Amino acid sequence: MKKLNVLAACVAATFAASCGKTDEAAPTICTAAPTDYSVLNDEMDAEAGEAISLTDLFCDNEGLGQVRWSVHNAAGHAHEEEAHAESEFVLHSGTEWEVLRLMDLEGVEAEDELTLELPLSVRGVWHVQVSLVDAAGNAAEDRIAELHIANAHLPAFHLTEVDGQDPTTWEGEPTWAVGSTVNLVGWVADSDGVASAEVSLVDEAEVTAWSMPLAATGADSLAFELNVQVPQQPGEWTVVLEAEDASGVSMETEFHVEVE
Amino acid sequence: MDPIAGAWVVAYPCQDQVSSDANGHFAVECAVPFDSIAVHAPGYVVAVHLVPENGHLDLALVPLSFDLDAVEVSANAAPEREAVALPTGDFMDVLDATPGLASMDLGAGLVQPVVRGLFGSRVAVLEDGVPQQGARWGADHGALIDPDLYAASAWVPGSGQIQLGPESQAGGLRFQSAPWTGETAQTTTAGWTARSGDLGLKAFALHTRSDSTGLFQAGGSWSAFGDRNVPQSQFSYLGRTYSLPEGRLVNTAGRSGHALVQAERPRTGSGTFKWVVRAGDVRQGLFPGIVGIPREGDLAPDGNRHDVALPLQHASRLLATFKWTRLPDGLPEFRSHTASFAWNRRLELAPPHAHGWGPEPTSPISLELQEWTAFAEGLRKAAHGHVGWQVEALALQANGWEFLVPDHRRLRASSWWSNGTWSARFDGVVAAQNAHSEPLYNAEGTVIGTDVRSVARTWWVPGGTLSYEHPFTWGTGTTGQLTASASTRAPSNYEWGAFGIHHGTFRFEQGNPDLKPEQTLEGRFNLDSRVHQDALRIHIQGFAALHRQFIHLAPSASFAPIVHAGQVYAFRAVNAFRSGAEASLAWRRGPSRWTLDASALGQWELATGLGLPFTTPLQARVGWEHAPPSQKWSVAGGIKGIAPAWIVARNEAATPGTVLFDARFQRRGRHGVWLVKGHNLLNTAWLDHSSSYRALGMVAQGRWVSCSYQLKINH
Repeated sequence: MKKLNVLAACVAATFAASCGKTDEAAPTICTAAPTDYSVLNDEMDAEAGEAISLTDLFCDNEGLGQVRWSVHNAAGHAHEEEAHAESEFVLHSGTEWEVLRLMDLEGVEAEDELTLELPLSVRGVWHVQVSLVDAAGNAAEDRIAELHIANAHLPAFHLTEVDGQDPTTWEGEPTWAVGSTVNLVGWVADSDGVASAEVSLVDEAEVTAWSMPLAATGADSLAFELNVQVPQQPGEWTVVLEAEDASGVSMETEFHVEVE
Repeated sequence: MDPIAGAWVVAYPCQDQVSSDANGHFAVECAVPFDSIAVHAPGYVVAVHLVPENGHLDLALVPLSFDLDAVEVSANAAPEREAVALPTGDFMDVLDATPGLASMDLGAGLVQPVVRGLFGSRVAVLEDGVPQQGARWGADHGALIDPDLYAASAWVPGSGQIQLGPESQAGGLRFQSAPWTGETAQTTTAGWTARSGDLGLKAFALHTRSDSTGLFQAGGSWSAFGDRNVPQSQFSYLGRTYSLPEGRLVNTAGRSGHALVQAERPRTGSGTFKWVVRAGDVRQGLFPGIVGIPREGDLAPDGNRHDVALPLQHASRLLATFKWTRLPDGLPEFRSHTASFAWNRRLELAPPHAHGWGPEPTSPISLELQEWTAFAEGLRKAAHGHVGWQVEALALQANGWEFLVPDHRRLRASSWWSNGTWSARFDGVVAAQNAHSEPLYNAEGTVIGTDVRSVARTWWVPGGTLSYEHPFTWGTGTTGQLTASASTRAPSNYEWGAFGIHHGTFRFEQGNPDLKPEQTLEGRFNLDSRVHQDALRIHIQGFAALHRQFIHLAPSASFAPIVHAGQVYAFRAVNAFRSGAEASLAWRRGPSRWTLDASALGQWELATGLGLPFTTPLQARVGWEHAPPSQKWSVAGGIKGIAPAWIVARNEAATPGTVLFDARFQRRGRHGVWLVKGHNLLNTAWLDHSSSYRALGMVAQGRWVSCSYQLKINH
């Protein structure tokens, strides 16, 4: 009986002790007046080649821990906050460019600034993702903003019609039938003049199954209408669009199609 | 109570033998003073009783009973009194259906058992008493086990179990090979299973030859499974949402193979010698979402659901065990010596990707862990208790460009004593790890420093266990036991030295070389009751444990320096309280049988009141089975309710509850048994709180229906 009493006392003491309070409040982004380059904006605009500074203020009730800035291309995924973004058709270039930075924060309020030097090789939409954690380990919901990067340096492709559809109306990847012919209408432009351009269809092993050079004349704009021969092999294919301007600046962009 | 005729009575230490007569009477005499008798009778539990010389003794033998089903056979082969026998069948199914147990969902080929909310090195997985080490490198490295190739299995709840080793704070699972009984028989057990949902296939065969000269057994199993079916169309990872076309997790297919060779031979005057060699190999795809940042196209299903592509994991192991058991002439004791050697290897292959600014690797081998272990045990058991010792040694070598844990070595020596009521074990652990560092690059790809992932270190950790067991009986149909134990556990080398991302749990985990041994005080009870002439059977067990310096993974105040990993989870020590209970009730009326299996678990940090991660939520299953005595078929069904998981750790989201339906039809044929089983019949989308995939918001496997046939041929 004595043993049971001791055991009961232990359990009671344990339950009493487990009522302790801890900081469970997640930190926040508390920028009062967001500038043009704050992650609290849904969208931001920038030009390739320029440097921009993202600035935000971070707050926590007890003590901040760390902020992580992740800048990555928006292709191929969506974030929970912008579920419709993946339906937007954008021809990205320089998608491998990304930035990751960790910065320790102290106190209950701290400002951090991320300077991005946007390369001349990028065009399209990038996600600026901010992850925030406080000193106790409480993580905030990630905040994601879109950074639209325009580029006047690279040749630019514009597709107005693909397989009879305006690609901006696509939801997800288009699906093409094996062995079919798909019509591609658009134009490629560059202020220095388009020296060469080519459209090709590449499989997952990066083997080109079909390609068609465009008849470039050196003009600022080159309109085209092509019939893409869809191969007999189903799978994930990539339409690669390449161009080079008169000053030797080359550009490559692509979009994915499902062939079945 | 009916008298038992023909019972075989052995007196110790003289070992004179007599049989009981038709009235159950016997008289035994020895030339030397004797202290105990052992009574053997077919159909009854062997009874060992201490008796005064020339004394009179009335013995009531307990009928040997076990649940015998044509497909599911339960038998308890564990030395621990608290052990609970496990049925045969798919390992994950068995774990998920047993109150107090769960499986951490790592795919169909690898299983990480969860015992009362704990897993990894806290759960001992023993084969013929030999611990399997390969499941101790983190939550996503499961055990390689096929229960079809064992004679019996059981789970042992609680800490302080002296023969399970000091790390098994949660308890353990025991798997036993077939014992030699001297019976002359030659049998082949074989079976196959086909399963919808993930298009799984399995076949196994086990041949046993036994006679007075010994036992030989050989067998193997093979299985293949396709991509997992999930009733879900999208998931999230690191805040990004992806669609899941066709409701399946692409590249989660795989195959597994297991083999066994066993021989046991008695030698007159020198005991019995037993050899067991087991091998296992599992190759399984890893969902692309868990390595790097997947593109939408990466998640598009390919044509063949059984194809496996990068990323994937490949686990292999080989275990050789030698056991010598002896009943010395003229001594009332049993001696055994076990020696075992094992090799484990885990390979993770992934598309080469750089971490941070480093150069892209050229090999697909992201991680290779090779482990060599040796284990030895000596046991001397007499009527009044037992003494024993264990030595366990391991050396692990890590390779690959995805650093996880440094090369390390570990040696444990333990010795114990038990008189059946009090038990004590003394442990000594010495462990060491190597230093590991990698070049640190800047954005231009220039080396700007050194990224130190681990430092060389050696630890010496003494420890031990003290436990008290008090079996009791109430009336004629109720038995039980109260247990109290105090024990220590040295941190695992993984908890000391880990520093890398896990592709199976989606976490960057960091060890802590300053961790000290855990100290645990635990009280347990179990109760078995049979009432109304066995119409109602009740098994209830529970525990409460106080843990000092309890080691667990908690989110830190920093992020991993890798794009595709989130917050760093670090091992830290807290004081914690855990408590829980499991209950199984079976009520038989005529050809029908109703069952209730339920479990409850609570785990909290004492300082903050937060829960510990992976605390299994309250759950209960109500089952019904109808088996007409004159028929060869039976039908069964069940409803399992899982409550919302509200005891959660920091940053761990609560998991909603669910209700799942299952059904089973079984028919005995001329040569074997047909079994059709359905799981999650309504194809309910639910989050398994014990699943690694829960971190991605991925639901558990959807509906599947399996059809199996199993036969036993007596040659």
